[in-house]
Amino acid sequence: MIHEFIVNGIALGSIFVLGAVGLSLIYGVRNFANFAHGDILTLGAYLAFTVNVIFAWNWVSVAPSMAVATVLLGIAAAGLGGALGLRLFFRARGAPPSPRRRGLPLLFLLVGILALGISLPILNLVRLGISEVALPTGLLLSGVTAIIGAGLAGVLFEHSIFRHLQYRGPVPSLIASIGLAFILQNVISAIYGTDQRFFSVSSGVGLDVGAGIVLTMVKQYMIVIGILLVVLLHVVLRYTKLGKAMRATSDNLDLARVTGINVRWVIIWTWVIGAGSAAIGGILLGLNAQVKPLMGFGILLFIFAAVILGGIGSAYGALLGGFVIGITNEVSKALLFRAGFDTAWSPAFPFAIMVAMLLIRPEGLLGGEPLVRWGALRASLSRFARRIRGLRAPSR
Amino acid sequence: MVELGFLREIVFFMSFLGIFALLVLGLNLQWGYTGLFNIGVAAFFAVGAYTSAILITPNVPPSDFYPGHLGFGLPWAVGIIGAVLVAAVLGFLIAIPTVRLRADYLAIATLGLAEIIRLSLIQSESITAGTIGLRNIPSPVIVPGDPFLTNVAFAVIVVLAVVVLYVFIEFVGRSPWGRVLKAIRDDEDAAVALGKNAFSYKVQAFVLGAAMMGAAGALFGSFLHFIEPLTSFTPIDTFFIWVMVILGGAGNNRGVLVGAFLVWGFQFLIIRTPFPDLGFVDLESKKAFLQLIALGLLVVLVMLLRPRGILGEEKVISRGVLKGTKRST
Amino acid sequence: MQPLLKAEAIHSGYGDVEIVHNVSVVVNKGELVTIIGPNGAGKSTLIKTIFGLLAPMAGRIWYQGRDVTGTEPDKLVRMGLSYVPQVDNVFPRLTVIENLEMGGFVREGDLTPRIDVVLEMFPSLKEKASVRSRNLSGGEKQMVALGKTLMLDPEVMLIDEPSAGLAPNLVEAVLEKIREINEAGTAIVIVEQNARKALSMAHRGYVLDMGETKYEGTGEDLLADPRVGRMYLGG
Ligand SMILES: Nc1ncnc2c1ncn2[C@@H]1O[C@H](COP(=O)(O)OP(=O)(O)OP(=O)(O)O)[C@@H](O)[C@H]1O
Ligand SMILES: [Mg+2]
Repeated sequence: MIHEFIVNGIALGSIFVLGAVGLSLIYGVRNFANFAHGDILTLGAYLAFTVNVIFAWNWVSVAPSMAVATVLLGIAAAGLGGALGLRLFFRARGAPPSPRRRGLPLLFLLVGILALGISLPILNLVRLGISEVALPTGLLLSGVTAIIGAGLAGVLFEHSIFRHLQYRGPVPSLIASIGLAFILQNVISAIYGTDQRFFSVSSGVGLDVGAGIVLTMVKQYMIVIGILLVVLLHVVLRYTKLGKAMRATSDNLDLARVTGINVRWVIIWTWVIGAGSAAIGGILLGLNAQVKPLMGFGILLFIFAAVILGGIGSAYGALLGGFVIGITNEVSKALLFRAGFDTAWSPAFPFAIMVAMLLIRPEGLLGGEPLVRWGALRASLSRFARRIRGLRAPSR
Repeated sequence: MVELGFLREIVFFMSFLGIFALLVLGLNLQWGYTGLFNIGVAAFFAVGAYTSAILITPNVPPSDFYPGHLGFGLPWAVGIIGAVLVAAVLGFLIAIPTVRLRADYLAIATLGLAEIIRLSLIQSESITAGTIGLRNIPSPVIVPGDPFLTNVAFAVIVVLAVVVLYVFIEFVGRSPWGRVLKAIRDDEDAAVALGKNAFSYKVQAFVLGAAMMGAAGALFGSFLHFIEPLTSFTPIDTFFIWVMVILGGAGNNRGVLVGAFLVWGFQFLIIRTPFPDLGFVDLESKKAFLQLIALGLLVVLVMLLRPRGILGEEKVISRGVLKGTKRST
Repeated sequence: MQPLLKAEAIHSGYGDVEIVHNVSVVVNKGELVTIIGPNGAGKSTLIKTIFGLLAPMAGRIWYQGRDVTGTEPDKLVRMGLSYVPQVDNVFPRLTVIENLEMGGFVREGDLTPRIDVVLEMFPSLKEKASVRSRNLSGGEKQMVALGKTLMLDPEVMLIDEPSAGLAPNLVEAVLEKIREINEAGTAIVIVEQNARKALSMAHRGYVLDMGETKYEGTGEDLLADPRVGRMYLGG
């Protein structure tokens, strides 16, 4: 039984990871705790939901007039967003030429996919009204829409709000982000209502992974998408100029500036990546349970717990933290159940870990001084190995 | 009749305004004076409400229809004193480990603790009646057969409490003690260098603020006669209090009271203003959301345009104070 | 000859508080200029103002004959000016190589050849190439900070107290490196607490105190000046 909770914990953890990586990067680069990050997850889930519903021709969940309105809104948003994105790109003068040359086609590609993602369902709508579309295509398009939409929203927040609070310390931005959280939650509630919604996906085939565990289609997606995106993020952070500049800016923004790093460009991409991965997290959360206006705010504390556990600004820490918090949450359910308590107590454990971490080691497991000095460990191991070899050598 | 209806509205408005006033004064002491970023206001409010409710409401055993709850049926005054004490003790226990944290960590920690407390209230069904809620909480003064006068009496008590606490907070705020708080907020290192025990001052301010929130909770329960932890005591409540403090101007007691008046007044008017049905959308049904959007926008705009709130902070010179006071503490 | 870098009658400070009063500094091509003075004299403030991190209250800054007052630091970096801060001058969670790469951020194309050149200048960093710089010793960090700045082969380097907090033998090594960099053709402005050593290697020097220029002259003259010796070189 405990296996099952661990598998669930990993699935849930991948959602936390996706939320935490973005929150941690934004925290590191912009130096404030973004309390609206959970609602960016929600935003992503609703964007995907809208596309998904239109694509799947599922009038059960949404009234026709509303679907048409959302399509129109979607087109307008895509147009505006595309224009804004391009403008930002061109305006980021002095952006280093190489990533810019590489980034521009990428942006065109993304805008193209977005346009496709929105026009295809309309085509369908006009042509025949397909009753059901296989999960992957529908999900892919909704996913891409959600990433781009949330990414652009992130850039919009930065430009309209947080940029202006940059030099006033972490607190004004934090307070503004709480205001933003309430705006997002209630805009979503006002448009979609507070009812729970569900993605229109076929339940698919379960996968028997042995040990008596059958992974539902959705769990498979959660784990696979979670791991894929984590690998992708790893590649970006580790090997691209942007990723390195993001880590550098997160380490020390002032030094990044005097080093000649185009900090505005880094900040914009941090928002795009942070909000985009949050959007994916939101979709997975919606697939796993349901889509509702407070879904993201509801897991904000778990995401904070993951970020703090791993160390603010450390993407790898967020990865570790997300999985640890996810597994803790699920395994504590198992333990509570065994001990005869209500499993609803389980959130207390991750929150308690978070508070304890803040008190004992606020820089996180992977922030600040390393917990384990690998270099020293390796050195002493090889010294040890040498000694053993030395002991063995004469006997030969 | 119309007259009485109007009076009723005023009494209702004043009662709630008073409860909000206690909350904002408490938060102002923590955040405005001392810079302690507490976003667990709802937790102290809830603990005050539940403590008082359990003390003054008779015990209700579980039945088929109701989970029941603990209760002692003690006099009303015992309830509010208990609420203040328990909230203060909770504040002390939370403050000891957390007030050293920097502002954003403190914010996250207090939010986490507040959610754990709310979870406990939901889960401890035999004590709090869980999500069903604790009912029949008595009023402080009951005028037999006249609910209106009962409410008037309540409003008078609340307003008196606010006046007393306002005078008290203004007094301590201007005293050397209050000015040391502001000095710690502005430059903790300087205050410490001058021999002030910043930790102890912060704990004192946190506990005092928490106690005031606890008192507000006790009054809240007695006013509604019913409390439950699903829609009350949520982060939204904390957000409301914060909007009031930020709008009015942190650090300024008169400012935060004005903020409470404006925000609560706004909400009060919105509730009573019918919104039109535009055909494709019925705005009346979206009112609650629109109102929260407006408050969210307000917070963002205040941060962008008037970070010190509409009244700003009063010019109490905190720089000279440290030199003026003796280095006794 | 037109000076490479000229700060003219600079007044600067934080908020309303003026820290630096009417200070002028000139750096010619290939020169090593040192600024000495007691703690709190305003040396760092002056350097930050030259590098565009603080806006001067009055005065102008000229670089290669152009007025660059108020120019953003990243633009100055592109123009060939660079700055090594007094503290926190490496990215702690980045490896040595990554730090160097960030130093070359504004350079186009493949950075590897330049990284090799820089590593050649700091051989001790070679074997630490993939170590996160927070795990380096103080001296190694200082080398990374210098190397990171050299990635762009700047015209002028502003270096703020490179020897602060280092053991005496490391101080020698770091200052020696800086002299080598200068001899390879880069003009350098260095703020130093080890005033004797700094003056002896400098072409020219300025003595800053209370935000004002007290003395200026060639390194030798300042070293020989008994007043400078008494007040600023510890007898
Ligand atoms: N960020 C700041 N805000 C306000 N005042 C500052 C700031 N930084 C420095 N000062 C003040 O400016 C004055 C000069 O500081 P500066 O750092 O320029 O001195 P310095 O000559 O570099 O000293 P040191 O040798 O100790 O590095 C000091 O009195 C200091 O307190
Ligand atoms: Mg200095």
